[in-house]
Amino acid sequence: MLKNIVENKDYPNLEFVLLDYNSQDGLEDWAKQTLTPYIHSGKLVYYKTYDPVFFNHSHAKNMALRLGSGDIVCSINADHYIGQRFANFVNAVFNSSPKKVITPIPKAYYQLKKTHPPSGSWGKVCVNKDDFIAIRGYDEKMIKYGNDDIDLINRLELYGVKRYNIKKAEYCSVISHDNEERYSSKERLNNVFKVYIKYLSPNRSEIIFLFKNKKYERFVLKDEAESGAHNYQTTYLQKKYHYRYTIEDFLWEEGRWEQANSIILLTYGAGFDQKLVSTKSIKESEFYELSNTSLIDELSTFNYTQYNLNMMRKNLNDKKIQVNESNAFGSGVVYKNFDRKIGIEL
Amino acid sequence: MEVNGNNWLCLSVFAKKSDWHFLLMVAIKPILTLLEQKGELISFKVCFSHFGGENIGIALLVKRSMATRVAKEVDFLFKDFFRRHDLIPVLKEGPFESVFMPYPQNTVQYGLFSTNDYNSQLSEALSRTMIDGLAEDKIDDEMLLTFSVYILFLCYKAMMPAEVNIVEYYSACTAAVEQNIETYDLFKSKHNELNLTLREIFNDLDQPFNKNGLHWLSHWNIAYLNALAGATNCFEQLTLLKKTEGLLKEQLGLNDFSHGLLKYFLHQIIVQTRHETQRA
Repeated sequence: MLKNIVENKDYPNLEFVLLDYNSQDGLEDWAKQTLTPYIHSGKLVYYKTYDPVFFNHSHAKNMALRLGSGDIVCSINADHYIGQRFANFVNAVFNSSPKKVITPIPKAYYQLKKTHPPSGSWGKVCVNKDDFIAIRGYDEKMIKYGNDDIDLINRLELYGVKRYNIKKAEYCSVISHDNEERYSSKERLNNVFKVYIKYLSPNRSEIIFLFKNKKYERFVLKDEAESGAHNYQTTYLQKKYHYRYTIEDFLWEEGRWEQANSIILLTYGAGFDQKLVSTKSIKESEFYELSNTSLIDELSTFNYTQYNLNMMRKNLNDKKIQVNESNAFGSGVVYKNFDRKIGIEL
Repeated sequence: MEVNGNNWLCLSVFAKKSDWHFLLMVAIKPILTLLEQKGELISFKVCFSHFGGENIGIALLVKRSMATRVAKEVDFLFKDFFRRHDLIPVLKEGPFESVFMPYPQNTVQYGLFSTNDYNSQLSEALSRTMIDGLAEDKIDDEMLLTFSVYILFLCYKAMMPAEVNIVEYYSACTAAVEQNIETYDLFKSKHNELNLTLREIFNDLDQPFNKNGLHWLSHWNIAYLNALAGATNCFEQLTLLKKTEGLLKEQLGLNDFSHGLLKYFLHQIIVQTRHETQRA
């Protein structure tokens, strides 16, 4: 944060918004001790929300960008460096044409190349605030890991905004960290109660996750690389797919589960549709309970990383521009510059 | 997979491991021979695999213009083989230790693996040797390990006397196996017996192949000696030996344990022969 402020001090019309998303790691104390001069000079505004219990990337970013007072808003993650004179660069790009979105995400994001900026920097987005509001921000249904930024860029493009790729390495610099810090596997595994699997074919399996909080998720996992393996033509025709593993028809069913004796009852929607999985007559229902811990771990990681990906792919497939239709986005109460008396409702 | 205007057609023939020898003898060998006689085959590669269920992977290098025709022809020939021998598709019952179920036995599937080797003579020679050497009896893990030992010992024999870097390399990479060898049940009581067996295999290779039933090693021997002629120094020789080891692991589907043992066996022989040479 400090490095970012110092390296961009020569650009006058720049406002840094720091959103404390109910952080429990002492961020508020650090901000008080370190950032006060910048707050007094008006260079930085510190907002805090006390509402969130869990971190939600999309909601946090929507809040922060809605709080930005400029014409152009940039989403910068906590582990991002923006680089020397980045604000001047952004200004120059938008002066040439305002209908743009600056992003490190390459057009063919599904084919990672060494020349691409590191994927850890992909969260960096600069966009005209009016365009951001028009597409109703990040999709807040994306409650798990990744792909929310790709989805935002896709929808901006569908809205007629042109992608402008950041090429300079300095603008894509990040504090590197491993996946365990991105999404703790321990925490995820702790939430899993049971996993059931139904083998449909050698490249399709139906998976049911039962979580300890009584929620369930159900989807058909597909290995695209092995589709059509029975057909001899697949041995010489190039297979075309962007992602090897996908969710069939984008259908990711969610609901609540309860157990009555040996029966597990899955309820989704308004409670009209109910599905049965019997734990006792496993052969009859063709579902097996997974006991192999490494397989459960593998599937649990898949579940966590595929959830948003599937939603992003569905939005793209449906050519969806606006999201968060049924509710406001980035909503909540925030407090400005350590003043806990006056809440600002977003 | 397209390479230099040619196509690798990759197919996987799913069948029980206990049927692999029959498949090699009655289906794979005749089909490959037919394609070669018709001039349709540039090269080929055979691999035993457990990926997606027990199967024999076959990669056929053909001209791009012939790819469609050859793929169709091969598809027909394998399906005809299964039909003629009443080998109907068999779906295994779960649960499985995998996210996806295995492919049904007695079926042929396409594009499940890829290769980009271009006319690798050693790989093709190993494939021919597998067909010649493993088609007569039921294939099991012990047979695959013994087969590999013959191949690797033959390579080493062609390179003798061993250069210091080969001794050092195998000494280092088998140290872990060496330290734990007593913990393996297989070796607890049979250590001396095993060394004798290894020595017998090694000595077997001194005889002409046709005299002691080792005619199946001929293809490999010729290909390896050709490759060795191009290796001008001891580092290139070692590289060739390591390449052979890698091919054995890949094409015979050896697991890490078997691969470790294979290197250990070679090291045992290297040590023995080095002592003998030094004594002499």
